Amino acid sequence: MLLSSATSLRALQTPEDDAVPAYVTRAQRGDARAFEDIYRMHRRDVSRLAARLLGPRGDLEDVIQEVFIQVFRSLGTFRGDSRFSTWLHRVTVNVTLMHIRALRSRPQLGNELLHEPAAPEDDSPADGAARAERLRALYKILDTLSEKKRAVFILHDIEGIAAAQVAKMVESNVLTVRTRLFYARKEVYAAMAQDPTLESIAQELQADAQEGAAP
Amino acid sequence: MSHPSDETLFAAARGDDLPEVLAHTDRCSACSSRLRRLQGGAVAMREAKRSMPDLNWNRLDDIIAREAEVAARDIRVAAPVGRGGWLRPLSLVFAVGAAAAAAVVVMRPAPEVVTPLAQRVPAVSPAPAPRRAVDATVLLSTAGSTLRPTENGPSTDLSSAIPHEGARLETAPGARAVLALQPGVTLDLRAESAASLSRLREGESVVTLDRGALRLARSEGTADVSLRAGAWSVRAEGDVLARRELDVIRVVVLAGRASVQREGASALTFSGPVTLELPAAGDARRVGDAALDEIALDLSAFRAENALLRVPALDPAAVLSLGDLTLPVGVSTLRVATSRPLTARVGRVSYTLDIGTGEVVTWRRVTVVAAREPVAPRPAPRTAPVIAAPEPPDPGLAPQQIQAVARAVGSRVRHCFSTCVEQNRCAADEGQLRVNVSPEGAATLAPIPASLEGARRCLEGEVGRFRGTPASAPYAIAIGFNTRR
Repeated sequence: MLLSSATSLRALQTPEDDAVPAYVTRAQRGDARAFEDIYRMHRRDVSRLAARLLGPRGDLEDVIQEVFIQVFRSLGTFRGDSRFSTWLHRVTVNVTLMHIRALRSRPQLGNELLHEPAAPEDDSPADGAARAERLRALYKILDTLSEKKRAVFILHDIEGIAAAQVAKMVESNVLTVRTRLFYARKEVYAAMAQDPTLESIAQELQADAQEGAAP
Repeated sequence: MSHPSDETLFAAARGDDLPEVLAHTDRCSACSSRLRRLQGGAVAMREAKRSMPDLNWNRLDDIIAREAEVAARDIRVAAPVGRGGWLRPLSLVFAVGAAAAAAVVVMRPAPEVVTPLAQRVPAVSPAPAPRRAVDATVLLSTAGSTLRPTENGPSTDLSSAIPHEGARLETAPGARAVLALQPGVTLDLRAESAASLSRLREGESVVTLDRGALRLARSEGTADVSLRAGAWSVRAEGDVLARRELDVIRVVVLAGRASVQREGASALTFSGPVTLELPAAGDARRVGDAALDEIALDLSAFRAENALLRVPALDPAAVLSLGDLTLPVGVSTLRVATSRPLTARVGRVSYTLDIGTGEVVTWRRVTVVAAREPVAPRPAPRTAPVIAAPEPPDPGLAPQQIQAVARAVGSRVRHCFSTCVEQNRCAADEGQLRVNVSPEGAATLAPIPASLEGARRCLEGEVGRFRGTPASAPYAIAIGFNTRR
């Protein structure tokens, strides 16, 4: 455990009070606890970003671990030219994309979800299974995109990150991001329009909504 | 209303107010089906955004905590060290009087092997500035791809290829070729492509794209270049990319004006950046006002592969390879016309040159072959007490008793020295640490050298807690130290 006792709790800065948080500076000087602070302050962001890019397949915990290992090892190169979170997100995107490339070159694991999305508390098991199925259908389409288009589509259209921020994360410029997005949307919508699985999803949801609305 | 596009249907699917679209889908079963599928897709996207993974945080916390320790230690270990490294045992202490010499020796732990690099290159890093200037070695490589006039088959030496009229150039899969047609005019032929040089005269060159894709780069003030493909002819002021597809030639004019003409028809002029489609039959069509062609999207990689790259600095001992070609040591500039990666090896660590977007060039670590050397266990310190010369009055202790006291003090303060050295808080020095012992056995630290200020608190604490052998008179012991690196 990183926090072994209540007495070791320390007030931490919110992540982006400064472009270079104090714990980053301390970590760059060799403070082990500061490294742990980096992890605790940013692990949720990193895990969400990696999960979005990775999709249902792939070992998310391995990716998160690798991201922070890379961050720790390369922290000395962070010069404060950008916000720390931007730099960290860039590392996350790169590590996750490398992992995806490695996955693509290995035999697929079939339809098994390697990490289950946490279900809302009021979800029934059937709802959870249906949600997982929808997620699989979506990522099956996204997996047909090229790596670059897939990344910008997920970051912008699913995760809702602004194009300028996406450009920094994928180390590109806004025009290129917008252009990739343009083509990615074309491909995704065309694939969706051809996918009968999604039609049944819409019909189920409509039926559920009508059931719920019925007196 | 004609059938709406997928994009329009998706807008309706996610809830945009488009009554005319909905009215159409009420009448058109095919569009209705597409709409339902896109609605399913929109739902899936919303759910994907809200889904959060369920992870074993405890396991991750433990792993990351260990990595944090390692990373922090690496930074401390990699603090500037003297030429001789850290392995300097503390010296033996002198012998005083007739007693045997005594010593407290603190062995520093063996440092981990630190891969020597001119600059550390992480998996992700901004483009490093070259650390030093070297005479540029320019290498033109096609990584084994062959180019030559078709009647003789491919040649391997592109740099000496002299283009001539009528030459036909072909590139193999995975290879590209760059050729200077005239001063300031460069033909960059992509993989699996073919082009013919129809005319190479002073003031004008004509290149015909027979298959695949190419880029014509032209400096200002140089000869005109015309690109021909099918029945079309394109004459551009600036750089132009072209790709030949089944029944259309796709042309991207990156900048400046381009004149496009079909055989027997008038020329049309466009201003770049613009993407044009030149069909086998029919008129030229402007696809967009920006360079939206996929080739242009990867323009920076395209350009980088065609450009002179400054190779980011690496250790001078790095071995660079381009595919299976070993490059000369010290190369800092490359002209690359191949899709093969440039790799480097420094010691047992491998890197690949990442030509990213925006011409950011970095070394990306791909293989960590070097395993971490385990930290050598600290050898048991050799200690022998200093036997101080008995000061009058005689404390009445036998030499062995004093030796035991010194050994005991030595074992208590050893960690103060090693910690102080590891954390660079003690200056390099050698000398004695003196401890006074009262007749009752209470020990106090005599004034310490300035070089040990960083260890003062630790030394005072350890000595203060120590109880020496009571004697009939006060006595002192001296412990030698050497913190020089």
